[in-house]
Amino acid sequence: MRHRTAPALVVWVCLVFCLSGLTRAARAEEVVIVNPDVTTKELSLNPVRAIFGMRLRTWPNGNRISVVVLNDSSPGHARFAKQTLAIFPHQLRLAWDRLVYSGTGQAPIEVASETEMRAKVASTTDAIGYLPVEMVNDSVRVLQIK
Amino acid sequence: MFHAAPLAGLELPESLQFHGFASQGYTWTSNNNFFGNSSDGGVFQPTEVAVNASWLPLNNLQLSGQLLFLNAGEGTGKLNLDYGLADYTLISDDTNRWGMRLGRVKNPSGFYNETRDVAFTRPSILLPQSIYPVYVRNLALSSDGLYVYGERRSDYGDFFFQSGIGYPLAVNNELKPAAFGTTQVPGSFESQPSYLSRLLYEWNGGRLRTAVTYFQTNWDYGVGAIPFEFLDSLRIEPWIFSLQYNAEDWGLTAEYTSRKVRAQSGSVINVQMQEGYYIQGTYRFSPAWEALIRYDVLYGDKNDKDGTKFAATDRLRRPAYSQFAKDLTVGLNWNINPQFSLRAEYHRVNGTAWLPFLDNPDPSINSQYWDMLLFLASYRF
Repeated sequence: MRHRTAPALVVWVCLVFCLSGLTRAARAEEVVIVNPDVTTKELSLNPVRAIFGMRLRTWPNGNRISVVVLNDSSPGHARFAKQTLAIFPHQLRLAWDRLVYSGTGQAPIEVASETEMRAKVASTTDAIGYLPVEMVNDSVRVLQIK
Repeated sequence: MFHAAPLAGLELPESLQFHGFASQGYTWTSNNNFFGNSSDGGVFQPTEVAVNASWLPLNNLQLSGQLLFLNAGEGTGKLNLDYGLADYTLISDDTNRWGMRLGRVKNPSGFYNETRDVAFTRPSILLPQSIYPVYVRNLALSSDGLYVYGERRSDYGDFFFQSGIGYPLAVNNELKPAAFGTTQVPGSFESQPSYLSRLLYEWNGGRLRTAVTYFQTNWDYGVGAIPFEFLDSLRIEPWIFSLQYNAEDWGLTAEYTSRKVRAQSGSVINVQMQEGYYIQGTYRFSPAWEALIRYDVLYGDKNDKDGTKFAATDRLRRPAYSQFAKDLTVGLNWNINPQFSLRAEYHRVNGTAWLPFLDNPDPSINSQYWDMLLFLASYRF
C-alpha cells in the first residue's frame, strides 16, 4: 500500500508545482515608469524604495519628484509594493501616514486606474509611477532597477 | 486627501496638500474613570479631529501645520496647534538625507508618539500606557524648538537619526498631580530647555524596526519669582528601547522604558526610577481584519514594585496599587476601506498607576481591579 501511494504523491506534488508555476507566469510583472523628460535612466532598489516611501524627494538633478500610486486596495499596488519594493502595502501606508500627520513629509498622488496612472505620469513633469509591463507605451519610459 | 486645484480663479501651488482625520470613541469602565465619567455608564470619548496643510515653497523646504481638537478626559476639549514647522533639507542624494526642523515639532519618542492621536497609525485605540501615558500626554507630545535629522540608506538597512532641543508644553493640570498627588498647591511649572534624541533602524523597508530614544524634560517650579518651598525643579528622563518585527500577516512589538524622575528642593534631591514595558502581537487574518493582544506593565518605582513601601508612608493615603498597573488588552480592527475603520478593545487592568488624576481626583477610592471597553470609528483624508 505504502509504495503505491508514493508515486501518486510525486505526481501530485509535480502537479501542484506546475500549476503554481503557471499562475506565476500568468501574474503581471510591474515595472517602474517615469515621465519621458526624466533624465535618470536607472536607480538601485534603495533609492527607489525611498522615493515611493516619500523620503527621497528630488531627482539627482534637483527637480522635485511627483510620486503617483494606485489605491491601497488595488491588486496592482499590492503587486508593485510586494514584488518590486519588497514592502507590504500596509507598511508603506503607515510610513506615509507617519510623515503626513507629523508634518515631516507629503503623501503621493493617488490615481484610480492603471490607464489613469499612465496618463498622469506621461503628463506630469518629473513624475514616477508603476505599470504592468504590457501596459507600457511610448508616452512613458521604464526606469531600470539596478 | 485633497491636492490643490484652481479654486475660484485662485491658482494654488501644486505642492499644497490638505489632510486630516476624525475619530469618535466610546469608553466604558467598570470602576475608576479613564475619560471623564467613564464608570458612570460610559462616555462618548475620545474625540480626535485634525486638519493639516503642507506646502513646498522650495524643493528642499516644507512648511506644515496641523490643528488638533481632542476631547479625552477632564482638562481637554480644546483646539491646539499640534505642530507647525519648517523642514529644510540640506543634503539629499541616493543614500543620504540631512536637514533640520524648526518650530513646534512632534517628539519622535518610541515608535508611536509622533502620531499618537492618529488612529490609523496606532495598533490599538489606546496606546500602551507604560510608554505613552494619557495622564501626562503633553509632557512628551511636542516641543517648540530645533531638531536636526539624518537618514542613511544602505544595503544593510536604513538609519534615521533625530536630535533636538526645545521647550515641551507645560501643563500644570498634568504635572502637579504627578509631582504632588494633587492640583491643590500654589505655583506653576515653567518648561526649561529639554532634549530628545532617537536613533531608528529599519531593515527591509520596515520588516524589522528597532529604536533607542533618550529624552530629558526639564521644569522649574515656582510661585511667582520665589521657588515653591517643596520643589525647585523637576527632571523627567526616560530611555526607551523599541523593537518590532512585521511579517505579512502578523507583527510583534515590544518597548521598554526606564524613566528617571529627579525632583530638587534646595539641596535635597529625590530620585525615583520608573519602569515600564509591553509586548504586543497583531494578526491580520484578512486584509481588512486585524486582531491585537498586548500585555503592558508600569511600575511607579522599580525598587518598590508592589507599592507597599510607598503606601506605608504616603501622606495622601494612596493605596499600594496606585504605584503599578498591569494591563492585558485584546482588540479588533476592521479597516472597511483605506478611509474608514472601526475598532473595539477590552482591557483588564490590575493597578491604577496611569489613571488620569483629573478624572479620578480621590485616589483612595479607586479600585485595584478594573475593566475598560472602548470602541472607535475613524475617518481620514
